[in-house]
Amino acid sequence: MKFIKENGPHIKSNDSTSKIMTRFLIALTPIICFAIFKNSVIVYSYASKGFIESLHPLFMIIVGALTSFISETLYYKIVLKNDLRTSLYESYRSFGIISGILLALVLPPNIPLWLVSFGSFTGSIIGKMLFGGFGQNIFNPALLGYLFISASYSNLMGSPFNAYELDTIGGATPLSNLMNFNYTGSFENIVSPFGDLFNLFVGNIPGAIGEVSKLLIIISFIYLVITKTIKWIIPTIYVTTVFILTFIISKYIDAGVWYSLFHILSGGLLFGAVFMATDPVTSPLTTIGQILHGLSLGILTVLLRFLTPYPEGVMTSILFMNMLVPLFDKIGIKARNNIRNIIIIVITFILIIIISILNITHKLDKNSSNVSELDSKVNILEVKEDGNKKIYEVTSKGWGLIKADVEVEDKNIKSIIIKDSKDETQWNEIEKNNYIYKVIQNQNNIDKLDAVSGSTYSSNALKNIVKKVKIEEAK
Amino acid sequence: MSGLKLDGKKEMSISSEIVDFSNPSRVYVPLMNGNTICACLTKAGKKVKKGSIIGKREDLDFPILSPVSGTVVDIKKCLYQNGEMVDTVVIANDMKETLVKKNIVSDITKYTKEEFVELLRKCAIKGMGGSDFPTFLKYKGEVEILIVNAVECEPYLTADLMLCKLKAETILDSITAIMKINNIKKCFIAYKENNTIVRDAFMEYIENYNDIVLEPVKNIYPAGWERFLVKKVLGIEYDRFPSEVKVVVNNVSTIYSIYKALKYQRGISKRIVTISGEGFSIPINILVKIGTNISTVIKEIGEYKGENLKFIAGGPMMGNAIGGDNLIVTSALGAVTIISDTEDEINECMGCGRCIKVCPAKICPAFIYKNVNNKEKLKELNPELCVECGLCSYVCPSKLGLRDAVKIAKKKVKE
Amino acid sequence: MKIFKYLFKENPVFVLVLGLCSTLAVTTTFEKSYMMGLVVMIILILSNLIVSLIRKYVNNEIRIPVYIIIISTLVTIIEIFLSRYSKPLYDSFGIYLPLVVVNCIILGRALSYASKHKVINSLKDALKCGIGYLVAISIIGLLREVLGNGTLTLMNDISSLTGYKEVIRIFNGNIFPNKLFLTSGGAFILLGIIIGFINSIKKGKEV
Repeated sequence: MKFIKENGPHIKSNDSTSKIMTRFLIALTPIICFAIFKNSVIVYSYASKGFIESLHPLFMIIVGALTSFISETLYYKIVLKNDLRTSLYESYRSFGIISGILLALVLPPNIPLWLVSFGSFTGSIIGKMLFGGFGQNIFNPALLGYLFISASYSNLMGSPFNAYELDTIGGATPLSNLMNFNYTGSFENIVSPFGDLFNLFVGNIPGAIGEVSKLLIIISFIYLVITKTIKWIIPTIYVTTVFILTFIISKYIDAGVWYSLFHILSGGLLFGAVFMATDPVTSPLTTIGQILHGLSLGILTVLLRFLTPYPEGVMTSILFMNMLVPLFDKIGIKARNNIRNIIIIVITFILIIIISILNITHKLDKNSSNVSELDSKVNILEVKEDGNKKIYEVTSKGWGLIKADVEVEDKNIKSIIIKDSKDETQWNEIEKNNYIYKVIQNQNNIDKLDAVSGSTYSSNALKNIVKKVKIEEAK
Repeated sequence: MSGLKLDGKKEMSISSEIVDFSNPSRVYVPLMNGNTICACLTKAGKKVKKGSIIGKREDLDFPILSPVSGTVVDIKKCLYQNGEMVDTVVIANDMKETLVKKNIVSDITKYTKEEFVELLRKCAIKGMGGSDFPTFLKYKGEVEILIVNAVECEPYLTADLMLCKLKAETILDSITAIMKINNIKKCFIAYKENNTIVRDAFMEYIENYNDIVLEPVKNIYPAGWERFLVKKVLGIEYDRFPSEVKVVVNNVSTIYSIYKALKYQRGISKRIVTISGEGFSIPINILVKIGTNISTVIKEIGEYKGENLKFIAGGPMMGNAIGGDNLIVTSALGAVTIISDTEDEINECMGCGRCIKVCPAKICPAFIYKNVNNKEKLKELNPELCVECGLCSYVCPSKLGLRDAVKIAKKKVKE
Repeated sequence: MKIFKYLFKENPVFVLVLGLCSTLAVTTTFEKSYMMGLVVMIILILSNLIVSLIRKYVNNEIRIPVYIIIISTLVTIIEIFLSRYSKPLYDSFGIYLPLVVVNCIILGRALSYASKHKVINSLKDALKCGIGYLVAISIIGLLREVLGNGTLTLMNDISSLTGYKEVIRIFNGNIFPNKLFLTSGGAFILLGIIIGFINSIKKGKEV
């Protein structure tokens, strides 16, 4: 009787890498079904789009998955010089299709298919294969593909509204709407245009095809935690941190709990936290490392949402924290030896949180003071309406007081007729530089226009008129 | 709490009675103590009696005794339980069981501590839970608390449990004697809370004994680890040896062999061995002479089932698959496990972090595996704390050889 | 193919990876890149010449300040020249024209080669490095502008000096122009791809 000679434990647990990845795919299935239902079935039934056109989201997912698989196979075959059978097997085992599907789920519904393919290709090759294949990548390959898409062709990505929503909702996505109101405002301004919080929860709002249904994401999360598939500490701490930070901010601006709930339920926060941030290769292994990772992600997302012109902060913050994962693991190893080693780290994080909150509240103050400053300088005397044309009679403070009539058609300023500018010194400089014409040309980014040298007050007065009228029109 | 609940599979061999196979015609005594080579003090042709000294561990003056009476036939290389061929004394058994000195002590508590330690050394009492550590070293200093390890956390093993079932009263007498001789204040008998056989066996007699307490521990692996037991039962931690905190941890079979030393002033010659596993037709506990070639016993009991079998000396987590079945029973061999090989698909490390969560020694096997060639990084990761329990390799979904990597790292750090 | 060996064996941008700051910052159009290459080449030749001429009279301890004074004088002369005769080009270079003073190629060649060799050899070395740099930066500028902007600017900003103006539009579709290559991140990615390409050719030749 021949016996096998071997070291090592001779019994092993039942779990394996392929089983874990299969469970992950199973958890994505309800979200894929909802994405297709919301963006294909409803669009086909209610809006006037052809059958093949309505199936666009399904094609997006298929194209994303196939491109990852094929590009990895080609890399194994051409660059690493294997034969075809080995390349297919290795490509199957490195589970590229998961990153392809995840990429397709964070893209808006009108994106052209070749762009999905481009993102999937660059994500797989540059984000994963060039670093050494499965288990060696630093960045999440789906997010890296998304980064390439938005850096190269952001104007071709299409709007986040599918055909049905363009007819019924129009306007902005929840987060860009929030930005328009300078992050403060009432329930009616921020939440009500999209129904109420329940709509945000179920997913009846515009956005990328996979990230809108928070209910399904939470159900998938519970399934993944019960079957011990993902690192559950990261999403929990991430979402909790965002909730607590926005709760503190909401107390400062006198809004209710709905403000924090709105922040959690809008954008790609839940989707990114559950499916992107927990990617096993690009997240920390130690428990304390995972806690720090979730904490840092939460702080960075809140900072990016409030202090930068980008409405969404999740994808960037996950990519950024992917770089810091070895640092979190180093801290985690030290903490496992002796928990007292990380007191300094805890103090640092508390200081970072305090400084972030102070910065955000300072900016909110500045924004509101800007608005009130504008109100003190420009005064709207009367609005005359004539069909879709409006005429605003305004006064604006320059050296003295400028009186003007602003003609608006379809939310765009057509002309400014100066009634009275006798108190302005150097008004001829304004006329010589054709400044009124320039002000009307640049009405959509008026802050970038320079004042006329020599008549700064008058130029600023004209700019303030445009700003005020635009704000009135946006309401 | 780190550690993992494993399927114990104790039911396979626990219901059987112990079958006696303690009369082999030939006995093989390896000249080894644990992994230390011992000197040979006999030669071919000499006549030996049961208890004669045939070898010695030089650095500790620790003897190796003959388990039978007879004639030394040869000194040759045989398969030892770590998988290597070592020098072994082959003795032909004359079946007469002649003792060196026949002695029966009436009151086993009448020893001084120095006499006790010397007795343990002379009778070559060693740890029977697998460590093969000379027991007299543990009792040299002051002892306040004794923990008796009846946990038997490895799957498939039931030898210690059967010993508790049959000899509970003897074990309790032995403990009482040890406590009186060494001035030990309290004794805890630790057992896994789901092994009711131990609790029922001791419950009959335990009220008659003061200062001996039954202590159940949770059903996780490796609950039988010394450091784990001291932390769980007493709540204290030590640096390298439990003697620093005046605690002695002994396996329950060792306690029984100490009884033999105290009562009859001789070492042990037999022990219970579990033969279990899905690859064997009749899982059973047997009573064999130390030095028996176990393949002769197995041929008499039953047969192997299945293909691609592994013959493991010890339990499936910490034992080695030695590649043959002519293994020699030593006092440290508690079981033989025969299971079939599993086809494992090996992948790259995917960074799931499960090995770090389950490690009872609180080191990070995944990072040691990734940095196994980098001596600077290994020093920060402390691979020398590893107990080689094997949980990291058990739980890894990519089926990596993590325990082997940590063993290599241990050697590298020592250089 | 001796020319390729001459240009790419010890190319300061692709092999030695020096002087990347000015390389990646000004290569958004083809014209800016070859003008920068010409500027660096001229300064390199002149500085190598002067440094090699005075190498015997300079003390070891004050080598670096002396060489920097020489190089910055040359750069200032070129700056004044450009600002007088071609203001659009001077404006579009921005701060990267003064930064040529601390360009690693010029200072490095001065310290490591010109201060230890004869004038003729220093001039040869400056010519080799300068032409290599010119070719490298032109390639990067060409690729970045064609792929990133879809145009090819042969001469636009210095057209007042030469009287010739030509901007060719090559791509205007959806795939190209690709805005990524106009950003600094895209420049690094393009540089990485080119260096990888050259390394793989070299490795193929060795085998």
